[in-house]
Formats: sequence, C-alpha cells, structure tokens
Amino acid sequence: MVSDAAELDAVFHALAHPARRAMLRQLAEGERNLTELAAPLSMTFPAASKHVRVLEAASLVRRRVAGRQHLCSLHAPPLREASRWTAQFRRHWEARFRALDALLDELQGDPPPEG
Amino acid sequence: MTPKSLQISTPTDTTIVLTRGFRAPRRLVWEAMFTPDKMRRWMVPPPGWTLADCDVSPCLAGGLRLTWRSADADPAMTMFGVFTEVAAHEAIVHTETMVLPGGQVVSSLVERHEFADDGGATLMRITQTYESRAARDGALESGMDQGMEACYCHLDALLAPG
Repeated sequence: MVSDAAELDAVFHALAHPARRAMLRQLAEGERNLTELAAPLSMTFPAASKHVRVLEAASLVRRRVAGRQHLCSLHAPPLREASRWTAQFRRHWEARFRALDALLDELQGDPPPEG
Repeated sequence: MTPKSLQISTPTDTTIVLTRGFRAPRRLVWEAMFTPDKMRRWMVPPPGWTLADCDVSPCLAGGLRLTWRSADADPAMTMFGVFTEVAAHEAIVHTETMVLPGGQVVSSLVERHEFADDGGATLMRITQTYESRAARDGALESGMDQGMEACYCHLDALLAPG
C-alpha cells in the first residue's frame, strides 16, 4: 500500500510529542481509559484528551465508548508504514557508519602515534 | 562490548536525531568524522562519482566544503557550511547546504554532533535541524541526498560481510 503523504505527516506529528509517545508505550501493553493514560503524565483529563485526539487523527489510536468510559487502544499499522518509509534514510546512514566502523578498527589496529 | 546500534527518531517536526555507538574513544571518532583524509574513507561516493574536494576546518567559523564530480558533471554536487560551535571531542555544530550545479538547493540544515563516553566506546548523537517540516520529511524520504540515493543499495552490498 502506498501511503498518502498527509497520513505520514500526521503520524510524524503525533510522534513528535513525548507525552504522546508515552501514551503509545502504555497502549502497547493493552487498552486504557483516558484517566489511566493521563495519570503517569501528571496531566489533566482535557490535556490528555487533546493528545489522544492527535493520536486518533494519525490513526495510531482507536477509541471506543463503554458506558461512561472512553477506552483507547493502539492501532499499529501506521507506525510500520512510517518505519518502512524511512528505511532508505536508515540504510544510507547505516552504510556510512559501517564504513566508519571499519576505519576506526583500522586506526586502532595501527601502532599508536608517538607522544 | 557491542556498540549501540543506529537509532533514528524525530523528536520535533523539524528535527531528525541519529544515535550510534562506535568501538573507539571519542577523540578517534571525532577525528574520523572531521579530518578530510579520514572522511574520504567513510563518505564513500555513489558509483561513478568521485569525492573531488574535501576541505574541512573544524574550528569556530571554520568552513566545510565538499564537491563531487561524475562523468557528466564537475561538480555534480557541492556541499558547503560553517562551523558555528566547537568543543573538541565533545560537541560540534555546522550548517550544511547541498547545491546542484544549477544552483538549486537540495537541502539546507544545521547538524549538531555530540560525543559521549559509553564504557570503552563512544556514543555519537547527530541532531539535524531543517528549515521546515516539509524539508525534514523530504530528507527522511529521500535518504538525504536525492542525487545520491541510488548508490546506497550498492554500498550495502559492498559492505556486507562475505
């Protein structure tokens, strides 16, 4: 599936905030309500709700209403898409750094410079 | 000890952060990163390209200028920048602009390198700050240098153990 640029923008925007990344880590362990998501972040309910809406906009989180509770769950496919999209960037740098590893090994194998 | 593997993150809308461990002390990693004859060893050019000039003065207000040439163009690409912050073997910041022969700017960013001891190894952290989110996303998408993108698959094959 070729991803729409706007969808990727939404994913990267969602991942750009530490509170939202913390929420995703929590949700990776299972479904949570808004109060549970807000608690470890020392965040008010409305503030947490706002972050959850950003995650929802990026399709990273799904929300269902059960009675008076809003239960959130992780929806991981957009994360995989984002990581596939950056694979070329990663390959580029990994190739450079592997060449650097080889150079550093060689430099350390050489006799140490005098002084 | 195995050094830390490459981690890439996007902590804000205009930045990319790369962290990677190296089995060498900070001083050596620094020298490999910013000494021209050593840079030529790891900044392997795309097939058919040659790293022609590599002038780097890693001191405050020092310059950075690299050019590549190909069979078709000399230069095929130019990168230039200025060092704006230098703390030897610890942290260094430079601007970086990549330009095509026609003057078209491919990318423009500020790159910060930080070096930290990690046991006997060095943890290098590179923070790239782009002018806009679109520019940042473009860099992530293209593998940094649009003109060089094709080569790195070959490079991977070359570097593969075997």
